[in-house]
Amino acid sequence: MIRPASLASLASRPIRLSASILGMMALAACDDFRFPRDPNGTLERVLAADRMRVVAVDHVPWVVVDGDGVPAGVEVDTVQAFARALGVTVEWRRAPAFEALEALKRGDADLAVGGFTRSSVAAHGGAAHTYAYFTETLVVAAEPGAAVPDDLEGLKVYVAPDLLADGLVEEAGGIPVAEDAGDVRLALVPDWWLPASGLVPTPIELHRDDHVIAVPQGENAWVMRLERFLRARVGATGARLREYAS
Amino acid sequence: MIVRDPVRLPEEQEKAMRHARRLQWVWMLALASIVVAIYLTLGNSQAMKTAWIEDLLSFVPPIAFLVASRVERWRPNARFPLGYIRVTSIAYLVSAVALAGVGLFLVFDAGMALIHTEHPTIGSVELFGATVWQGWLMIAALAYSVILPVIFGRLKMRPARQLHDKVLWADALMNKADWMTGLAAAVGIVGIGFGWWWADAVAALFIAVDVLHDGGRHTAIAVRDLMDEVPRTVDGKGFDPLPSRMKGLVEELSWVRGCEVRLREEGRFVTGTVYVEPRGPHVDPVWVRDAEARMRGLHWRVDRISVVPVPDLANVLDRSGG
Repeated sequence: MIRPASLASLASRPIRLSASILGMMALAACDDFRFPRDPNGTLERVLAADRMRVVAVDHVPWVVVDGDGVPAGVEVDTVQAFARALGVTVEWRRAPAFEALEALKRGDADLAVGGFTRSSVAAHGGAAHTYAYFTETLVVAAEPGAAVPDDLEGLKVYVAPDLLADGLVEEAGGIPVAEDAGDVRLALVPDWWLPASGLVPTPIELHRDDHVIAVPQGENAWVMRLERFLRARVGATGARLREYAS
Repeated sequence: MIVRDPVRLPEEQEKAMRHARRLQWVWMLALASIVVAIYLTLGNSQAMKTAWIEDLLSFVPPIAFLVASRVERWRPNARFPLGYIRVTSIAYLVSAVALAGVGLFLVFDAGMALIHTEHPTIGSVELFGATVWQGWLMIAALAYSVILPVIFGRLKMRPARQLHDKVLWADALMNKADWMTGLAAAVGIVGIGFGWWWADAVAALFIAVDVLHDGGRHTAIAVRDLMDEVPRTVDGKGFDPLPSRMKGLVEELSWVRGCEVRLREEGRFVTGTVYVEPRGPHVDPVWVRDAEARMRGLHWRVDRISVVPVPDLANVLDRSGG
């Protein structure tokens, strides 16, 4: 049996520990105490230089580069809004996805956008990412009036070529087709496309993509600032995508 | 075939055993809550990952204890006439080696994180509408993970001593020292916050070395046990005075000229052979049984003692027959 007094004394070490941690938290709450900080000082450098270096990877509708080379698209808008919030300009560069992540790894870029997902950034291993600020679901939708199936077994499903999702339909037992010869009543589409498409969603969801913005590893103040910005404009991405679709 | 008596403990030890078993069950519940808390805040931190694996490994000694304290009571039978006490030592050895193995892996893992200069990325979480650095959640989980093991470690020491249970003792010591790993991981996280990317991997290395050290210690205890080492005190720091007290007791018997002991520990019990050189040419079997009973009366741990009369103590080991 243990007496209350001895209980207090035996727990005193962890209590002191917790107290000191609480003290540090209080310290961190002070305004002039920057916490967390960047090992390589990205946030401070961006603010001091009034410019951030962003790599854009072609990926409709996230990053769309038109004839004159000026990037547009949903995530380009996001980056520009972030730059305005920080009061800095954006120095754009175009590159394929792998090179974009390599640039982050080398420290040659501050952000990379272009439809990156949690898994695509994680697979590279040299870059980090923000939290999943937008989740895109690929759903099977039917033409109005068409029968809504329970599963895709043996059914033809239209899959837009740039979706690269034929495999998902095959896995679910369906037959992916790239061209509608008039006999296809189903289509695989991103959920944000539905309102503009006039199609009727079925309960069949084939995939979810957690969209992120790629960042350099370990630059935690920088990531925090970006994530704070992203959290403050929840819903903006979905609205922009629906706008894009219509 | 004569089989051994089943394991029996005096009333006080039976009570301590029930207490210890209850403690271990409650502890495993507490540990499960800690493992969940750490898992939920794991993030990209190497130190958190290492602390989590260490907490998972903390399940091994209580499970070993609970299984062992059951199995040792199985009745000795014609197939296993000496009973099942050794099963517990074997299970203990296996889990100790596994612990050391995982410790080695964790040291390697943390070392690689340092060599590759991996910068841990810790972002934000949304908590009650506010954007909070995830590191604070990690530290909160670590603070929670620190308090319970220290309390349970202390609580386990008394029954461990009463039961002379080395598994329970080692487990209690491990729990008591657990606050250091929690602190190390928290320091690593705070270090990341200050922009020292290496603090995380260094903290992980510290914890990994601790796991390796624990594994080594448990392995050493298990090996000593299986090697039939001379009885030790429960903390393993010194040798038990019981054998010399037994020797003294037998030497005082009127029919005994001299005596030597060859004792070992089987689980919590002291067992073995006591060689006796009698004064006269004849030894009454009743005297032998009386000597064994007297030694058992000395302490509850003394059990399964055989008194063997020999003509000449100096030549006990002389296989030529003198």
